[in-house]
Amino acid sequence: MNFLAPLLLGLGALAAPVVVLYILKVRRREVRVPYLRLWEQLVIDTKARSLFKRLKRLYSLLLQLLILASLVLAAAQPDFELASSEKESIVLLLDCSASMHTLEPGAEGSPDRTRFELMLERARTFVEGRSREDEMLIAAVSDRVEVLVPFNRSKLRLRDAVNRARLTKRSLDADAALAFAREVTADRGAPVVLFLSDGNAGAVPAALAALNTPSEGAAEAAGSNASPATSEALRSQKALQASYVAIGTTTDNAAILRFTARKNESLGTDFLLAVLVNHGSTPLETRLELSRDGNLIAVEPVTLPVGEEFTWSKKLTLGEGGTLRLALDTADRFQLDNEAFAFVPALRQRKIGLVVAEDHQAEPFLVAFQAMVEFVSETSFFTTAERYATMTPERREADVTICVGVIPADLPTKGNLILMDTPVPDFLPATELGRDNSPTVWDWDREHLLNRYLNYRELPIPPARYLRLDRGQALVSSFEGPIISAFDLGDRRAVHIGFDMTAELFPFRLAFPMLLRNAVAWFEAEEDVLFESTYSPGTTITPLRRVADPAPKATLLVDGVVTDRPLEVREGRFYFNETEEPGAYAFVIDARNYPTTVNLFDAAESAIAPSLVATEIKTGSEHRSLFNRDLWVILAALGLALWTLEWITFHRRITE
Amino acid sequence: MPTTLAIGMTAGPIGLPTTIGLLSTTSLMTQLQFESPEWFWALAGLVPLVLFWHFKSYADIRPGRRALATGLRFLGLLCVITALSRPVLQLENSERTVLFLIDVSDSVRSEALDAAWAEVEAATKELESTDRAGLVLFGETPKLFVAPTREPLTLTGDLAWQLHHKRAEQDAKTRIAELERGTLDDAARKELDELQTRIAAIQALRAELGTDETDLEGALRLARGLLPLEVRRRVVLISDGNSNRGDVLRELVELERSGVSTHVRPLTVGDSPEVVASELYAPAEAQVKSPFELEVAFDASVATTATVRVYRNKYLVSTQENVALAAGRTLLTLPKLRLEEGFHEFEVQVAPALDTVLENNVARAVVRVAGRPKVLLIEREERDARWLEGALRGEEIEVEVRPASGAPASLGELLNYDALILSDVPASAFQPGAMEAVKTYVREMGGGLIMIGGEQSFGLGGYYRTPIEDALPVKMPIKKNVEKPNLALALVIDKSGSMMGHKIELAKEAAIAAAEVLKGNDRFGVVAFDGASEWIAPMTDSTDLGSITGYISRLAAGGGTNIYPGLYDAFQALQEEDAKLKHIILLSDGQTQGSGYDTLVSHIAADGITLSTVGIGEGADMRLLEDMAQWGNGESYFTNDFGSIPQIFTRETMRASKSMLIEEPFVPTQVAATEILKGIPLDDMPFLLGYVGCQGKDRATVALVSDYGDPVLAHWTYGLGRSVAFTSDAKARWAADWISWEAYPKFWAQLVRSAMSTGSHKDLRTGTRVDVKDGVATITLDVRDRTGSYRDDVEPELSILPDGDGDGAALAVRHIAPGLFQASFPIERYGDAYRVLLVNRQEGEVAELRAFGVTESYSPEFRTAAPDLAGLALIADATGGVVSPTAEAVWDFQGEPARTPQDTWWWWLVAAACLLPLDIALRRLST
Repeated sequence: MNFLAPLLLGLGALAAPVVVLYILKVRRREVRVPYLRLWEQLVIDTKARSLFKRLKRLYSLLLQLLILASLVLAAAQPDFELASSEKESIVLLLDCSASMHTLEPGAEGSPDRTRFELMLERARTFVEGRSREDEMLIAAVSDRVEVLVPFNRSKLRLRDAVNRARLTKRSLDADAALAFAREVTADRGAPVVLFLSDGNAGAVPAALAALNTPSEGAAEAAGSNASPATSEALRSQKALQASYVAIGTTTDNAAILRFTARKNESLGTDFLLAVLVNHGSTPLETRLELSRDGNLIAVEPVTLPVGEEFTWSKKLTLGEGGTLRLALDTADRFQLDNEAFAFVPALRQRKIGLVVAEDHQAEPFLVAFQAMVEFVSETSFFTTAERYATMTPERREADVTICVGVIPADLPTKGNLILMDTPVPDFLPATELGRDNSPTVWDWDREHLLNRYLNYRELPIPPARYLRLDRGQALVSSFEGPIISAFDLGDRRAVHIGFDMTAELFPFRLAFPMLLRNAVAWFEAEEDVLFESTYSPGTTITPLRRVADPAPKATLLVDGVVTDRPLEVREGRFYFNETEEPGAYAFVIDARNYPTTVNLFDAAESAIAPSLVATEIKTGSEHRSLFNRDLWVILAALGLALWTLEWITFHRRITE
Repeated sequence: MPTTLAIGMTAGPIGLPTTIGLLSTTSLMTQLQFESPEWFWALAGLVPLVLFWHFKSYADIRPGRRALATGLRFLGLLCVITALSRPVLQLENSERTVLFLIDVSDSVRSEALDAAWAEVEAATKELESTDRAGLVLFGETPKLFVAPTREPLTLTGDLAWQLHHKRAEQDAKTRIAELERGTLDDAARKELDELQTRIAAIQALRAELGTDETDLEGALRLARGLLPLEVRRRVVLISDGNSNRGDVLRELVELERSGVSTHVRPLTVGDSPEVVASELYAPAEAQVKSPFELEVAFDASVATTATVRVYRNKYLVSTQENVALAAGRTLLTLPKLRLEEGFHEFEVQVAPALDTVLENNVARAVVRVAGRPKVLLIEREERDARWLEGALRGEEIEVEVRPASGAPASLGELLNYDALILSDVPASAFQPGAMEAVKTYVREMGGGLIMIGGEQSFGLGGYYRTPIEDALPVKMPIKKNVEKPNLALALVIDKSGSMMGHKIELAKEAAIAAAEVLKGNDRFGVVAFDGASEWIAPMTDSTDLGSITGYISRLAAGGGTNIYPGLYDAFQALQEEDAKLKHIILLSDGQTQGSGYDTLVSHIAADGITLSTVGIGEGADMRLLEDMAQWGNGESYFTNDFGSIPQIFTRETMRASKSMLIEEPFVPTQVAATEILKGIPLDDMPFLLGYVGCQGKDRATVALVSDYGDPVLAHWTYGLGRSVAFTSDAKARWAADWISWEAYPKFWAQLVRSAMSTGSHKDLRTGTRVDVKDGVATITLDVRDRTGSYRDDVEPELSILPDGDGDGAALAVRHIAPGLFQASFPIERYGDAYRVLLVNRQEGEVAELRAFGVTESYSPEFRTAAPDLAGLALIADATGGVVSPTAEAVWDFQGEPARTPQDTWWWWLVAAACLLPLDIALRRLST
């Protein structure tokens, strides 16, 4: 045993006055009595007990000295640890990811507790048991690392840090957490990492194993769960003592791993897809409940096989769009992955302006538009070039203006264009080279959005203008040159078709709606996609391009509660990070609604069976007891007890 | 100092105060915190106990002293309890720690680092005793190089080359080159060894830091963990802000929360001219010898000129000098290419007159040229296919040659080919239903169909009114513009009881069809027989089709079978006809009665009348029928497919009339432009010696015609596919002069290519997209069917093919959305080309097989040379930092001071120990 503050042993000198006080004969207090005979017996008794009285004084002295010794020894901070033992730098990583929401059955009669609560309990044990000299950093890890307290010896701070850990609904990035631990201990002696986790489907013990054995064989030792990046990075690192403490025992869980909806603009159909998994031991017969904007629209029974991914798909027509919620009707112990959200955009009607040279040219287009009512708005118009000149600018503005055979004067400066068999206007970076009287399609860009579903070989191409492109993309080329071209003009897009598609009516009826939908999809592609369709919980959402609206707002629909949040825009961007809760989110920008969703969708989080291959704990903290750690507390408490006892014995006159 | 105390408390886990705040008039907060406040519960027991014995004391002590002793005892016990509750005093301190994070990724230029480092040195030159400065260098990975220290940061020792690793490496290499040019004495060798060791160390450092990428998030996260808690903390981020790994936004939230302010110091070097080869646009897939274009995009900060070199598979294929690059984006289209099968790695290198960063002067792309197109050539006699086969093979078209008996039988068989060529193949070569499959192959599946003339082709081959005629751009009956000898045709049809039902109806249809293909000056009659014969349609002009149809419709089956009377009647009638050609077609399905056929047929033949026979079904007396056809100088046909009877009749009629066979030399005349004749020297076109007369369909493009105006070359689009008719042949009979013509291979290659499948017959259409982020390439497959519907019932398999032979490394494919599948793999090294194989399976069967290449030209570090000033400003703004701080501003902290916890429990024990003698003295010395 040694003392951390040996100078304070000097307080032992206080024993001297105490002893002196007991050596000194206590001066008798003079008391007047009315009748001495009554006290004679008392004097005789006192004489008879003089030995006891002497001993009583000795007891008193001993007790006082014992009290003093307890206090002085406590103040000198006795420690049983060897002075030579190396102090450790402990990184305590607390898994605060989604799977830690899993409810673990309590002991008989006690309530269920989450893995997170169990983990905190274990963390507190580590904190309390740590050596006074050890420094500990505590970090809550999920998809990021949140340092709850940097390296610190203060038990108060460490305890407070554990209390500040918050359970999240995010994924766990074990690689990032361990890389952080490695770097943060790089300049420290005796680094130790303790990872309290349910294992994240084996990723944590695998990565830790690689960390403990940073050699060529690390990846193999890590097993298939360690990412190549981790294994590679770890090979070059020094060995680090790392331990994984498995939390939890529950294994069974059914989950929605993915849920997405895709609208096929060309077909007007919405396709839904969900990938489910059953981590139970028997096939699970359950139901899938699909609701849109809170209204149940379908319930389907499903049987989930054991261990395999099960794909569920559905085709619907949800013209008006909405937010979809898919719920798995099961009462497993990890509920976060039993529901998922997706959204389907509404089919949007566009204002189409059709300008033709002669009225009769409009007829095939109008017939086509009649079959596209979900796509073409009632405000659309057709006119001749002559009448177009008389229209107001507001009336002329359209999402798409289609010019057939003629380019009218005063085309609006906004809106996209489809120019069909027209001369090349000045604003297009191209030149008309001539007319191919018997064009044969030699090649077309099959990957371009504008050519989707179109087979130009099946279209009899009438004589067509072919161009030389200064900028732009050739979509379809005959031997002579491009006969269909696309131009991105910055603020608008244009398609030039060198021929009149209505020359052959039958293919036109088939091809034109496809072309128009494809063109609009291309025109609007960058405008519409401002956000990903889904984000992971905790992600900071920022629009994919800058927005003009100075005061957009976010709308959160979580657990049926709608909340609005104003957003601060800086240089056309905003950063929204209140995405902890899975659910439907929407951003209102320029009075237009941009929906998105937040979903867990993490196979590793849903595979809740804890990895029980816990590694050997390398730190001594786990084994140190409160007794040998805080001996001064024992001594101080002993002093407190003795001093209290002495108070009683003094007043009972057992001691003096 | 006078102090007014205010007490604030915060509740601990058991309801006791854990913090008592003492607020002085100077607004400085000093906090006393208790780590184990639960010890205060002990007071609840001790206070009553002390007081109880104070009042119930037997001790001989005066009340005043007793009260004093009680007070002292209470104070002593309180001291011990306070000590046990572990009081921690939060002391204000003025310590400051600043961690400098310096971006040493490859995109950062040494000149920029020089200026920034000078500022770091200035900021740490005269540190106060309470200040500490640390240094982290980072690229993809952050590393602590100098732990927070009171010493000034100076560029000494290894740090000099570690910070300027690029320059140090370059200097070392330059010096090595100098040394190697000179005489290597011992000193030089020693220096050389040291330099090589240095280069190895630099490369190890670069690998350790991952200097080919930048991760601001990781660097800031490490800084947050390294900064001590009880001091004022700051990060100074020195970077160009171009982070291409991680998500710095996530870390900003944590920095903001933990109160670590971040100053940023952008790394910029004036306005340096920069040219970036941004993209190389190339098709992922191309066909053998099919021309395609490469387009390269350059982004330049200034207008300049450049030399552009194009390499294919590491070999220089073209150089363009003095290419003008405008400020902004310039697109340069490279000459069209035609490639052989395989993967082709293209690299475009630009050497601008004005430039700064060299690493981004290269753009790469991989083009996979699919295997040669494959066609199926059916030739009546396989040996006659050699000329056409050789020509096509010479033009990189794979050809499979089969005789007429090898005509494809099913659609599935046809789908293995890009086109079907029928050269002089009769319709009878097709099995029942097979011609319908050919039609479907062209119309529904986008396949190509080419029919080449010959005696067994077009109408002569019996294609009139067949599905194949529907698909061809020509009609079989010839226009009536060729003078030909007239024909008298007599049909002798079995109407015995066995013909009852479907057979007799088909016989009637066949008779009418035969009449339809006759010309105006032809004669036609039908005699039917069972046990006896009967003229159903007496010999009449073929133009009276209405009457003929009426007569034939009366034909009914019944009775026995005796060919002789019917054949004899036909012979007699034809003897009286004044026609240049006379022909009898005999149809029977059974064993005939009677005898003397050899004599009768020999008379028929002697009169110049030809006889062809058609046997239907297994009951027909084929031996006799074949003999009769042979004796009668005609053809013998047998069929179990009753539906083919009309084709046999029309074919036989056309053959007999010789109306479709034009055998005279001519040079075709071009009457319409077509891609087939592009580049063909029409003036040198040799004679053709004959052709099969046909008539172009209305929508067809007739490109070449004969002297009579009959189509020789016609093509059209049929459904999703294309078909071509070449009515002359491609062999030594009519094309004897063509097969030695130098343009013969090109003509046929262009003809076949023009008809070849567009791939649209494939039910699956899979779009591929490759995104590279954080060093990982993600392949997204968008699988749809021909209608555009998303397909989820497929099992895509993706694998990375090795350079040599062997199995590819399979990638895990995830089904991420309707019709969308995704797989990822790490990019080991920028500039490497990866060959990816896609196999799409449906119900276990391979439905699609494609290969494509993936490459990333260079590290995203070099994507842009301009610093991301807005991004850096955001980091400073979000964390309360400033941009480009002065040396003073680096250490200028605002807001609450930092506090250091001070354990005070032992103070309380000392106090208690000191109180103990007083306590004793008070009692012992009292009277």
